[in-house]
Amino acid sequence: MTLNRRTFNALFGATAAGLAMPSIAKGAGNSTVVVIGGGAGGATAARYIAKDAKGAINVVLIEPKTHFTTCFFSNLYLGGLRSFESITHSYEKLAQEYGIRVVHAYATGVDRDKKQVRIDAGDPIPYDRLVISPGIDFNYDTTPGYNAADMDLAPSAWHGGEQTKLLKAKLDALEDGQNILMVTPPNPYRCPPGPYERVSMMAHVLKSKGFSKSRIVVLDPKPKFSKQGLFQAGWEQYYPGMVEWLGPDVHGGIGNIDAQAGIVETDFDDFAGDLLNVIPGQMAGKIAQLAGLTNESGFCEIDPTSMRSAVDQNIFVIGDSSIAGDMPKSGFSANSQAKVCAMHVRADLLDSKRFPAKYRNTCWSLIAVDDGVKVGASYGATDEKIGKTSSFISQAGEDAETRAATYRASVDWYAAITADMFG
Amino acid sequence: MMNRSAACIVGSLVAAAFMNQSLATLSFANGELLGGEILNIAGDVDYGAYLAGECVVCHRAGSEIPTLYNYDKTYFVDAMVRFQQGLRKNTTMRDIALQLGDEEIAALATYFERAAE
Ligand SMILES: Cc1cc2nc3c(=O)[nH]c(=O)nc-3n(C[C@H](O)[C@H](O)[C@H](O)COP(=O)(O)OP(=O)(O)OC[C@H]3O[C@@H](n4cnc5c(N)ncnc54)[C@H](O)[C@@H]3O)c2cc1C
Repeated sequence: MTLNRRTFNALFGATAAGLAMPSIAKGAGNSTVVVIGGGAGGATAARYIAKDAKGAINVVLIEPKTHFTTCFFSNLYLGGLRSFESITHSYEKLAQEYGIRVVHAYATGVDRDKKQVRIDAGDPIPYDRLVISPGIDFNYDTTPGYNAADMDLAPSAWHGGEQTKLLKAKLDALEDGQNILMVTPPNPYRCPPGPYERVSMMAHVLKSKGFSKSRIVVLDPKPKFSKQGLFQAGWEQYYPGMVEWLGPDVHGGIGNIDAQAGIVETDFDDFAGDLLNVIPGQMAGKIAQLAGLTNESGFCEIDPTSMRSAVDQNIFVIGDSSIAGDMPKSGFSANSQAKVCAMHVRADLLDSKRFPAKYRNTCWSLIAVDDGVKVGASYGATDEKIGKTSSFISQAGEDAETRAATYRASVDWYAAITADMFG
Repeated sequence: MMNRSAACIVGSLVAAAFMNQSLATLSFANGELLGGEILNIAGDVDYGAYLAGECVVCHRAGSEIPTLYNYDKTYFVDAMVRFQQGLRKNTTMRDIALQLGDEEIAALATYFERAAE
């Protein structure tokens, strides 16, 4: 049995934080939680476990990057409404204020029998509980002819940071009459409304520069998409004639993608773009596959009551890598799942209370400056999955003040969630 | 860009509407404070702390969304009941409030009244 606070108290009769408690609580006898990935899921889980365990659990966060640039609000950065710095965050507070050991390394494998994580720079790190939140990797089978080597020519910008910067540089370099060609991903992928918010923000940039001849063509493998009515009404209203969205009933299927030439073949015709933005299909972050936690879908099955992996009791999978039932893959969802996971990790190791899992998501999207829309839902655990219990969505034809208030609320959310992740 | 001063005025009005003192005025204007029976429930602080995770991901002294830390319990309960009854209209908050039972509102109210950021 692991020595936890309750057994410690029982053994030594220390009810309040006794004289010996602080030095022992920080010592080698503590259980260790290792978190892989310092993004929306991982940073939140690490912070909540450390904050609520108050020193009684050692928390190690493995993340190669020293600074994390969020994908959320990266479209606003493309649109010129946010600076790169304002969407980039440091791990310093997690280390200094929460006592989390932040290891800047890449996890290369998980030895589940020995309960150790192998990293590319240093000794394996042992764990009592492991939380995995590595986000997504790409499945290039969905984009014939296009692979990782083409990311410089035709950025996906579906991972935050350098890719986002590159896409913005290419967007800002366009001249009137040059066109944007976008290939959006099949389901499931991170941030269902994300590609269409991106279309809106790119259109905003072209319009602000007074361009009248440039077009944005979207080749979509899906027959419909998130908040479609709201987006298409917005494109008509703000960017008339600029955006052309083509579903599979028009293009008939996406064929070879030539990033060098900027040409995408479809069953219907060949399309050319001066700026090519290709977002491939997605699967769980590679480490989840290496750890043997994924199923045939490429994502990880979890227990909907706790986010515990269906294949290993000592491991939790949260965020984009998990199969979270009705929840979309979003930063908000990952943050919400992290809190359910953190509660169960603490209960496992410290016998703290368990409560029924409650999950929540809201996705905001900006269609034009001061015109924000939102879709959101609550979720709970059913016998089979995380199921939706209620939902809401912005309505067509809302007045300007409602839309502006929705945008302001999204700005508040961004400040709050990043503080919730990074302290 | 957003008109900053206009946004600030609207923002602070909305924020003020959530703050304890101004809320008192607001509530009197709308009639009595609601949810008295919920105030009689002893809120479970640990449960409140867990549930609060869902709130603080948005609520943090912003221009549109106020902080809930050190929030007066009476006004917290009143606000949640008003969202449930459709007397207050924010679609997000109405959806969230309708998911909460009396025990949960009591737990949250008890937690936030005591918790500092
Ligand atoms: C353009 C765009 C817009 C978006 N807008 C929104 C929005 O408005 N609202 C919203 O809620 N969501 C939004 N999202 C979605 C959101 O970014 C993701 O759903 C969220 O980040 C998922 O969290 P995660 O923890 O699963 O992964 P991530 O946040 O991607 O974090 C994963 C981390 O794991 C690290 N990692 C990966 N592998 C390893 C390894 N082997 N070892 C160590 N570390 C590793 C990575 O470096 C990364 O830091 C958007 C996404 C995009 C692309």
